[in-house]
Amino acid sequence: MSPGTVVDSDSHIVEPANMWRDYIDPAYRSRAMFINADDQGLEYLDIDGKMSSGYNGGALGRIAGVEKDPEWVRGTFPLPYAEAANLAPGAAYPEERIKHLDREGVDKTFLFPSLGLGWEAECKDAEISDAYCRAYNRWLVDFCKDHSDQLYPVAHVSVREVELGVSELYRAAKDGMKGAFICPAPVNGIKYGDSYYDPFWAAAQELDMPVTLHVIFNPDYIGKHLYPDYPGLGPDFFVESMVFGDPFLSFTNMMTEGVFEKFPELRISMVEIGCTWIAHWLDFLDFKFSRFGHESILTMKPSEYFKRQCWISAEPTEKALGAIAPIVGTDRFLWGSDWPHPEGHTNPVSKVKYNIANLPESDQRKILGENALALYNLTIPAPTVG
Amino acid sequence: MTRSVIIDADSHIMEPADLWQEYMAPQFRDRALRINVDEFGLEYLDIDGKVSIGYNGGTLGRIAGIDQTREWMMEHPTLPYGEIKNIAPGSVDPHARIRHLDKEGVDKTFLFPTLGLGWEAECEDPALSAAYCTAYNRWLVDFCSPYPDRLFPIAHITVRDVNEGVKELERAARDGMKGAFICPAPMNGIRYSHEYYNPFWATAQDLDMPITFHVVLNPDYPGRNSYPEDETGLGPVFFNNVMTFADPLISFTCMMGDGTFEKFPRLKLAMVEIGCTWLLHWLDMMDFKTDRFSFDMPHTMTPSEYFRRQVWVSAEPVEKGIGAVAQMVGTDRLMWGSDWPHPEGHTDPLNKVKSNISTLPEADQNRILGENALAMYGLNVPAPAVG
Repeated sequence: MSPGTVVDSDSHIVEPANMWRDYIDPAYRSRAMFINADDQGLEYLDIDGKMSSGYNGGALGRIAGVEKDPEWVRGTFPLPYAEAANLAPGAAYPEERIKHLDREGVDKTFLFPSLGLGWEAECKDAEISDAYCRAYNRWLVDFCKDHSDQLYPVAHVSVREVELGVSELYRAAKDGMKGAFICPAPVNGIKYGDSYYDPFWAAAQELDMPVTLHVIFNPDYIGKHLYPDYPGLGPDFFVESMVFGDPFLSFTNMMTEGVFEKFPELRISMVEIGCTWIAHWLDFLDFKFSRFGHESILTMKPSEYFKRQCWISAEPTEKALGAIAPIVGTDRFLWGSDWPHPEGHTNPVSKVKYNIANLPESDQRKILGENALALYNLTIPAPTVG
Repeated sequence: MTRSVIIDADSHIMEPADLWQEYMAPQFRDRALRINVDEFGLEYLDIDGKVSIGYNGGTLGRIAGIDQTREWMMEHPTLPYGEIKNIAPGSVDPHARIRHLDKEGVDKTFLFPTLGLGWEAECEDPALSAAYCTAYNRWLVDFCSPYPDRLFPIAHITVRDVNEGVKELERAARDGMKGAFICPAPMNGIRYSHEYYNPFWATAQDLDMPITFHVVLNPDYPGRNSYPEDETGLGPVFFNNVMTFADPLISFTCMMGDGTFEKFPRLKLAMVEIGCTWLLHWLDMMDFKTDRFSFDMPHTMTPSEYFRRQVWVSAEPVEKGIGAVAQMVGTDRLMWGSDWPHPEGHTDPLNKVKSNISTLPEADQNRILGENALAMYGLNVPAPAVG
């Protein structure tokens, strides 16, 4: 069959180390993020003069370890950040990315950051946060501009101060960006179901900009309290498994507080946290709503809001995608490789195809790419005979 | 088709208000859990002299609200606990429970508490916590005693002090209890994968007592910090009720990652009241993360292999994905639970479960409807009757 347009909804670039200094508003240049070295000469991400609690210890080059074995990923030897561009040239150079997409059989991809996933929880200054986002967004637009039908820049927007987030969303849209992502855990402590964010949802709705909850490094992740005695954040397996927690909780809070009721044209997507769980969650939410929803402002079942305005990205390894998609609705599902991060997937298209081989071809095409095009309001090309 | 044995793996009794005063050891009796009334005359659960954060405001009778509509719940913001004998007689009287099971088409059920789900987080004294558990367990054995082949008592064990937990697990087993449940969130702050609990897992394994994570009221549930302005409560009921999913998920994951199932290969763990379809994602995800990040993990198999060896889950009757879970995860891992008679429980559960597994072969349906629960608890599967 012809797979149609194949779209990777979640892949990454690795930012040039000097990117923030080059692209940030001049007023903030002295506080730009950069890669610094500690007293032992090991690289770390410097966030407004402080050492990142996640990106440090000379391990920054490992961020491009998609094909490396666990010993390499966890290895104790330093690996300079500059090595990431050698390990995954397509993450650093647009022409190389196009070659990489061709090799992987991917037509289009939506791009997210790498270093940019490491600072938001630890930068308490809303203005600096906004400036960091804007610098990155400007750079990303430049990165994508020569391949505008294959590389799509997704804006990073900080809503620590919601009005700043609204302004940056408008600016990013004007600059041609197709969507935006926010930190799955509200870093200012205000839940996403709170009316504080109404101006942001209203802006996203008005601009027709989908908002993605993309996993971000959160030192205070859900479950962290179980490892108070542990050096660092907890065991890798646990920390990596529990990245699920923040987006899951925020999505649930937005649902129960009626964000989708208030903003019927808002579009939300969740990536990097799998998708087959959503079948459980929608049944669960619907049932709990029927029993306990009388104080909420919802006028429909949670699953109905989901089917109207939410999308979710499959991990290529999810064996049940083909069984679950028809239960929830095949037009809700995307897939993402997370390339080139160590928790990402190589050869993702074959893996996704394998897991949806039971579905009719038209549904397979939706999941492989058409749903992503629909989410981002891009035209579905006329089918070719293959 | 051949009629399978039908087992409800998660349903509830409602404790008599004076249970703890009657069954507790004399030295603790003045600190017994009890139902008290506040200055407005509204009932609350009194936990060692304090008002329960969750069970208060005169709402205790509503806990048996399974058959009641949302409108009824709105019309009855308060209801005395004593009303329960009228709205769900099967939860307070074993003979009435048998009539209820017959009406629902259920052969056997495993029984969990109601008031007993409300105190554990708020009782910080390990010895008193253990005494509350022992009293409840002794009472529950008495409740089930007229129908030992249909009503199965599940012990409530606190592992706030692990040695107390071990002692009570041994006592409960001697007393004929078939399994035990613990609070999904460790109330002493020590994760369940910590070696602190090794004596408990070892005892459960040696006694062949399955351990269930049953949802318990946790005022500090994951997500609670979304509602800092709600100083005395739990946040909105819709949100806090769905987030009960998180504590068992987190504890299960940390046990998997830190090798609890590797160290205790005959330990049996069950999770109830949090659905099952999420496992489709969670097992694939854990296998993949093990493949990528297992550098320091003490495992010799993949998480899904440990799961298939020693973990069971109970489906919510409304889950449309049960059939998919059975096919992908294994038909021998699944049970179902009604949660009767709690307001988040399911009426007519059997037909709901059946409608969600109708695509499976009959033998697999029979496993989910009851045989898996028998197997987990080490009970004999009866010879099939032609029905």
